[in-house]
Amino acid sequence: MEVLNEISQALQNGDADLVGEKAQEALNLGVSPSNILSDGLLKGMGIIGAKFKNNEVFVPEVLIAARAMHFGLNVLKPILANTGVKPFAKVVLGTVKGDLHDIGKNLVGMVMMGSGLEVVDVGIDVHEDKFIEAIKEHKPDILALSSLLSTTMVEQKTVIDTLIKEGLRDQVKVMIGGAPVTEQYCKDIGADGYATDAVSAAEMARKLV
Amino acid sequence: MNSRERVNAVLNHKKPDRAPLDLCNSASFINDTGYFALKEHLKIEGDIDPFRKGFTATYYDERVLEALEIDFRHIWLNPPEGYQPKKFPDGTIQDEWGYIYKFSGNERAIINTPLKGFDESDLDKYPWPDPYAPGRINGLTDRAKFLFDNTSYAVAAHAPHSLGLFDNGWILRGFQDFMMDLVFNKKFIHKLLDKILERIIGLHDVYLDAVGPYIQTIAHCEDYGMQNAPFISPKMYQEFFLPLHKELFSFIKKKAPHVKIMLHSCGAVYPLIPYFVEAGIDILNPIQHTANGMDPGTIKREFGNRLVFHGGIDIQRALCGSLTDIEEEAISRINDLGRDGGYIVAPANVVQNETPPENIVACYKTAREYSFKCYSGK
Repeated sequence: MEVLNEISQALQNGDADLVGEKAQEALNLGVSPSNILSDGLLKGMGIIGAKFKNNEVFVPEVLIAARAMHFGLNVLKPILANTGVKPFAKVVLGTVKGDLHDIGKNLVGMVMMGSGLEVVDVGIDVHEDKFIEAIKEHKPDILALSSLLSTTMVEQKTVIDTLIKEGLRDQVKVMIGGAPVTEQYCKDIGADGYATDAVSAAEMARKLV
Repeated sequence: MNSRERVNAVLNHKKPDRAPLDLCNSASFINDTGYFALKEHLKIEGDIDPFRKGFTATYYDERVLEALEIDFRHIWLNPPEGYQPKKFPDGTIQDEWGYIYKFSGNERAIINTPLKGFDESDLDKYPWPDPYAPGRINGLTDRAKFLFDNTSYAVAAHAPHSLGLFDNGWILRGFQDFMMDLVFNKKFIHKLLDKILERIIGLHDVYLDAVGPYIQTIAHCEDYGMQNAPFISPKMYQEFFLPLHKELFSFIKKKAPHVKIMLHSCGAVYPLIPYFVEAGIDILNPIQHTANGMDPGTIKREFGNRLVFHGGIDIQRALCGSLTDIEEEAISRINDLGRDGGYIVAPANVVQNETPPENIVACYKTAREYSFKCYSGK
């Protein structure tokens, strides 16, 4: 459908206002909100994501697309809620104890939000107990742990061990990320997923739930 | 060859007797706990004062440089006379440029971005630092002249400001806003970057007047790379930053034509290197080869005739790994970045606290001995 292509295109251009208008137009034409989401918004975000991984677009282009996605979602959300469509997965996101780096974490948060996930950002230098509190309070589907330093990545394991101790491990999928983190490390510490960049992280989060 | 001859050979793309070694230049410092461990390991007694505040690596110890046979000595601009960063009761600190940060353990986080919500006209009212504030060059000429006249070390000038256009810009504005401004608010970005450039050029004006004749290199630091890719496209670099870098670097060349300019940018910046060359840099630091596309062999092959490389020693894994890891790392860098010269050995970034001191010693020793063997053919 033309209007869905227009939504996808406007999103790729980061034209937030046009995405909002076109989403409304599509609703008026009788297109279902879930259709607008998957074949318009997420399709556009998928194209931007692929280009980002391929170094064809960079951080500014991803951020403006994520922002445009948000505008589109705001149009759809009230209607999606009414139609009984399952709410978006919820993610608790933070940088582990001893690590104050937040650019990567913030990018992951922005792109996740732009992919329709609900993100609770608990900040930087987050103690494992604070992650546990956040899980009890927000009941997320996913816990995403960021670490830039080889000296703080061990804290990702500490958080997972604490989840096990608290009997919460089965209630939440754990994703890890950050420069020193590897697929092998992810397996070693018993995390559910690892991603190399913000776009992959958002895709993985959607896959995990 | 003495140290300065060795460095000059490399800077002029001639083969030295061995690869020159550097430490405490650009980002290649040692985090404080790591410094104390190294000092103890080297059996250096007696404490010195930190040379700067507001960083996590605050010691500049010439006894360490001597023990490691470092070929450089360094000079740096002072803060203005009587200047103290503002300290708030909650432990946060405001620097000369107005942003607020805090420390946690060995880390520093920016927690306030003063230009959030500003428009173009507000930029004229902002209390920018004054490059010509008295005191910045106190004692500087004497130190630089002393090093030049009385030692055989190469003299390297630290960057007069620890940030550049891109990172100072986003730290003042806020990361996400700055990134989106690059697309939607170009006029604001142009004006903001002009304001920053004006101050950075002013700082170079003062600095080079004081030390120009005595230094061999000067650093300019800003980070364009993430682990996987540059933050921005080459096109965006060309549009916003290349013209300003050209202006800055030609200002330096005009004031001190003999001085070689070293650009520091962490991360995956391979697609930007041709434009850095066009901007007028002579030395590229740090070649963070664990980042995407930063293959030292490829970069040497493509840019080795125009650029000298500085750094290259991986601090994320090799330097804090086993002795074999770091020896292999040093040998690999001499083999790729240092093939036939053109390379200055240094850690690619701040040496982390947990790095075993013997690894630091082994890194320099291996690089020194192996490069001598390679370059002399013995």
